[in-house]
Amino acid sequence: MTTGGAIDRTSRADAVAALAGHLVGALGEGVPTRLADFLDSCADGVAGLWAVRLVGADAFAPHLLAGRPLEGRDAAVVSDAFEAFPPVQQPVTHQQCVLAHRDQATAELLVRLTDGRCAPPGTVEVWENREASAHLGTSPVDALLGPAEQWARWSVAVAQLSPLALPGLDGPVFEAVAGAPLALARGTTRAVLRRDYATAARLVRWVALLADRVPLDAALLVEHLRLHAGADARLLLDLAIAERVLAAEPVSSRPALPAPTPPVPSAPTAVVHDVASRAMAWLHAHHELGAFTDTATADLDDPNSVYKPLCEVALASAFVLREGVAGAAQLRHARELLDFSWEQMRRGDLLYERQLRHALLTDPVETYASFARSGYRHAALERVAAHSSAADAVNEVVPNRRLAVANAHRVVGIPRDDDWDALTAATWLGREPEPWVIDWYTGYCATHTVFHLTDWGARPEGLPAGTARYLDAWLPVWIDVWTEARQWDLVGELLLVGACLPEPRIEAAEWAPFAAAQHEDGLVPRDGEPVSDDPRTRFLDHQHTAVVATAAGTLALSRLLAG
Amino acid sequence: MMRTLARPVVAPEDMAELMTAVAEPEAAVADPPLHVPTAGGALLAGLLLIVSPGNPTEPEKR
Repeated sequence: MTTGGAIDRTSRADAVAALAGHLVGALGEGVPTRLADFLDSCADGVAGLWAVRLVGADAFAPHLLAGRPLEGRDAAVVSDAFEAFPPVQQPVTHQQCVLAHRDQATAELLVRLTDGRCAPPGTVEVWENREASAHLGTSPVDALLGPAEQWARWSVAVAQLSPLALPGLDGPVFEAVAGAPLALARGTTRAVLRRDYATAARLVRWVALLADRVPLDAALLVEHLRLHAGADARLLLDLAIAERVLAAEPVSSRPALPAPTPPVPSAPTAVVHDVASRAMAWLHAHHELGAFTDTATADLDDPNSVYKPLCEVALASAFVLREGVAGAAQLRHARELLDFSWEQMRRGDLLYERQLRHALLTDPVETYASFARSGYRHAALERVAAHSSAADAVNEVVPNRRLAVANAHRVVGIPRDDDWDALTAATWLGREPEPWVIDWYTGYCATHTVFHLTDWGARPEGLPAGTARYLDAWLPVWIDVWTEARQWDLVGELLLVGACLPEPRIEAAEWAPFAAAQHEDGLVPRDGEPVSDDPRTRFLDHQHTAVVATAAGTLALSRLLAG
Repeated sequence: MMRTLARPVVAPEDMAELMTAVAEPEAAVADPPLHVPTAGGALLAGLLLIVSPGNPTEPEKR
């Protein structure tokens, strides 16, 4: 109830929920829209008017989308709401500007639906009023939304203007959103991945309205949100409107991605070099912690405990030597780490014995590729590997790992008749799914698909054009989402993917948080959890991320220097 | 019930609340897909840079 002049918070929430439910019913079940009846049903009439003001133009969604007539009493309710809660006459703040744009949309529809007989009092013509933000030197809409290139911030503002995502509400807001379909798609994908379903539902209304040009499957997206929406009435109203919009103008297939427009690499060379050299120095300083504690044989109890980290250190070191852009200290570290790892592998004998004993295992050749690339060869291992390959002795692995096997053989020089196109098509990335269906684990699958197709960035042309275009569109979203979640290991891999692209993506804004996460001693934490003080635990927990940081920084530096 | 169109008296804080509600920010705390500890072993093994997950190994070192 309204007490002492102010509306009780519960009354407001109840009224908004009731109104949203009323409108959903009118959209979906043919229930007549009666704003006046809704207001009469409110225990607190002022709260009811407040709710009408809040939903704004959405109050007319049943009239626009379901053909319901707007009766005079209902039009009067909207006018009353504007009288009770007057429009801002000189919008300055962001909130005031959002309200002013929403008010103008409401006013336009009220005039249109009543054939000019009714107009809310006091609305400001923000769409035409250039003085509203003349001090900013830009149009009111541009000032409100900001540049579409900053799609994360831009899309939040677009979500706040979701009541304008109704058919026929043309104007500068519609034009601005319609002119940036990729920014809208990225912002929507980001909201879904953040599981911010309220924002996602607001954005999906724009996606539905622009379904012929936004490179997302709008119907799938709406259904996804409905499955996760819960019972929030306003969210359900957004989805009901989106469904009605889609039903009115169905789109048969997902629009194509726009032509790639990757930004000019902007990360300073000093930043990426610093990340890589300090990560490698940290690996070098602690590498003895990654040694076998006993005599390893071909039959490893736990390949992940020592063997895998040694392989990864070799990979990072081979990266540094291959690219040849590191300073003298980093080159020395790389060579010494390769020597160390090679000795741990008993100068290749361990790999040879493992391949000989377990012909179908793929890790010996995959590991050996890093050494072979750097000049560490083992003739007997190559003979066994060639024999295994000729017999097609490869165990069943997930599709992106099958690419790893193909690339390792390519690097070592062992012939295979791999169908790269077919192998790529079988991967998650190769299928180019909706970008919001990715999860943490699949993120790694996607990064590795790129690594193997491009031979860890040495052959950017190995990435199919469609895959490159797909990554150009969605990589920024995934980096943003997992940066916010401080998943530095995955972020590092995604940054490495950016450096592997034919048109490399090496953005200063994306590298800065990753570089900032690096500790003074060069450790790069795998995530935002506390880092142990125990030296061995520190090394084992974060060794992989140091490898990723070394590789990503090295390749990024190489691509930056290559221009 | 008959509705009265008389203009109600609203408090300034109601306008402020309206302003806040129309420009509702995105969720402050994101809940993106992360590593699921309950599926730890299988998932962690699966993201190996190099080593294949789930390969059979001998039960004992020889």
